[in-house]
Amino acid sequence: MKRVIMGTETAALAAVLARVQVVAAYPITPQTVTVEELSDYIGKGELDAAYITVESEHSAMAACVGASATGSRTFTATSSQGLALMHEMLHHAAGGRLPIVMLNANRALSPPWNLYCDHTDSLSQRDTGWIQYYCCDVQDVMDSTFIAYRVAEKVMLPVMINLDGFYLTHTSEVIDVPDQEEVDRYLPPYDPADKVDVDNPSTYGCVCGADLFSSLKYRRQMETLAVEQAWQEASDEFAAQFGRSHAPVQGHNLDDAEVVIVTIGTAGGAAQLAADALREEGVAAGSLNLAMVRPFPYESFRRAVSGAKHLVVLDRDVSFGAEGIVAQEVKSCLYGKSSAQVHCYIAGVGGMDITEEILADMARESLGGQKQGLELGDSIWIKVLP
Amino acid sequence: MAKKQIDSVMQLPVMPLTIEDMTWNKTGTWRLLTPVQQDKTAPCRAACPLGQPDPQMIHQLALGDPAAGLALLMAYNPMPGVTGRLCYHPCQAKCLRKELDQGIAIQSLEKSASEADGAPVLERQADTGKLVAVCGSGPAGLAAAYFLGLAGNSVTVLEPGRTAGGFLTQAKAGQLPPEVLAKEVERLAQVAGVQIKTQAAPNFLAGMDLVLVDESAYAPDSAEAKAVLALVKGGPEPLVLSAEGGFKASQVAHALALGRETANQAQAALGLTAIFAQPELGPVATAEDLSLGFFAPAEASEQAREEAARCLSCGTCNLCQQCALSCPDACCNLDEAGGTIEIDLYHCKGCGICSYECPRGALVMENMP
Repeated sequence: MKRVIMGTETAALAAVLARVQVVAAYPITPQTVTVEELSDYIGKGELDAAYITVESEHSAMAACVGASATGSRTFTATSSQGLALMHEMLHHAAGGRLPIVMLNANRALSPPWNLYCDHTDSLSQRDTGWIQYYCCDVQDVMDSTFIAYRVAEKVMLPVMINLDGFYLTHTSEVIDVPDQEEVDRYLPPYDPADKVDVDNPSTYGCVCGADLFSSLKYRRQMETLAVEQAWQEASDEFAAQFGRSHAPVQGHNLDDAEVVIVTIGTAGGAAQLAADALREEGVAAGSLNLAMVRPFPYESFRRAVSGAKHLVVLDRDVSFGAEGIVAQEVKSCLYGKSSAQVHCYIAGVGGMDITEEILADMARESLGGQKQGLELGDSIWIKVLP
Repeated sequence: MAKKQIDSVMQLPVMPLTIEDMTWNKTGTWRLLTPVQQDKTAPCRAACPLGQPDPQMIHQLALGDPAAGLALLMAYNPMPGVTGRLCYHPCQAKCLRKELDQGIAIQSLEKSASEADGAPVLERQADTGKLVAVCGSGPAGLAAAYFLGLAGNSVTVLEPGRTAGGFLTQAKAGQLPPEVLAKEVERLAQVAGVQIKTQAAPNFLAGMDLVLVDESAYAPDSAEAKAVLALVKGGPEPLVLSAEGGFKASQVAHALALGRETANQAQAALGLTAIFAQPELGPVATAEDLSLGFFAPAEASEQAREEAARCLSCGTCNLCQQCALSCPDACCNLDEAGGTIEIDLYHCKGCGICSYECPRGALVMENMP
């Protein structure tokens, strides 16, 4: 069924179609609509789930951890400061191997206060062990939620679905809303081998000595690295059923591209248009939407940019004292594997619009064109005061 | 149980959850201090002239078993129905419940236990073949007869008057109805196998192995007393139960204690071992030993069971199992058959939480492995 629907509403509707059983969330701009919609769905009996009201995001995730451990399909949503407050519990969810799915509306971290899009919130949670997926449009929000549960419950790891604050959370688009039967066919009920059971008592998150600790971490790393493949398969299966693909790496005109614009989130659309405009100028340009940041899709990424000479990486974030976080990730992926030059652009933080023209200019600059911004360390900052 | 062997990463659980119990880990070897149940004496018991185990008796009432409470009392006190009415109850003055709200009505509870149906069956020693006569049936004489009876002697109480009870027969009927006294006398005789003869002439004392004379029944210089003593001439020296100034009705517990003590002297005179072993009572519990926070205020009740449930059982384990609830290693466990708390010393780390949490101060940490 086609529907005009906003990003945050879509996230709630996707959770309903995924038949989540427990929701514990705390509202925060720009995620609020998702939480309101879900409480409505549950309150009206349209979703058979428990809604746990909490006093903070730390408690929200703690409640999700407990709920998921009982074998319930669990959902939450947050943003920015809320995500930061969850930090400790994020480790607990991933270390506990609990397949929770969470929406994060990407928003700047204060101070100074700013409610708009910025990726520092989720990227600074890279090392918590969560699978991180960044949506490029509203359809992606709907579809990736189903894929997320399918992958999470297979590999027993939580997934963070990231939506650019306002650009995606508050944009309405025409999307295809699948039937419940179709979703049920793709996403069977969650039935884990181990779950909290009073008749079979066990301690979850028990103490572990040094003798087994590193082995458990090793196994988790092994199974986290395998997520790239698992997600790709789940995406392929989704494509076979629904005709839409949501792979970890989504390329546009990459086959012969010498310059590739790398983005995460909604800038992927502008990057495609920028690449197309550059093609018209005779530049062999392509764009790459890096949908999955954790685990980093090493294989797909290296394969996708194997012919490129320049990678123009947009970072809507910064790791202070280093450079843009995505650029760091890209460099780490390509080190010793590619001779391509990686150009790090820090732009669009705190809600500054990233247009097709800005991205095209970055690509032109990387090929020797006019200087666009201010160089600082290994990054170039766009639209900052001199 | 041996520790589980894991040989490969894939044998580990996906979720970090317990893969076996931890009984193989004998954490008891880490222990420096050891929890030991060391009941203190409740202040009510310490104040009792008979040292009767009031908290234990009250606990039985709280459990709804007055007969068990009566049996506990009658190991110390042959006439709880009398003391439960006449005694000046120094126990109640010391009750620590007063720190919280109102003290326990211990005497009423004693009376309530004394009204349990039937007579308790106490252990009676094997027949000694000794013949003992107690002249006079005041409480001291009856108590001596009772304990000597329990010791396996053939005891006859000779009461010159119509009614057994000595000075107790003079008590106000409102305080001690005659039928209650009669029932108490009958019960103690039944429990200890003692014969009581009223309006008895002391004319067969010559054949006795030992004679006791209750001065409260025979005034010291009375003709009766002289007659009794004349009859036993040539036999063993009679034991005289006397207290300076005699006893008031409210001092009945002291009279009973005198009789109990004299029974032990009589045993010695007969070449037998003491019958009543004074229990070794530990230090007396104080308010500082209690964790009053564990106890909710509760109004005094006329119902014995409700009132009994208010007792704090000061210093004395009443199997409340707070230690079992508090132990982080599940080392304190109720042994239902034995009615005790067993401490698993193979695994107890000696953290002391059980001792700290014991609401009545009955668990102490001892400096021993």
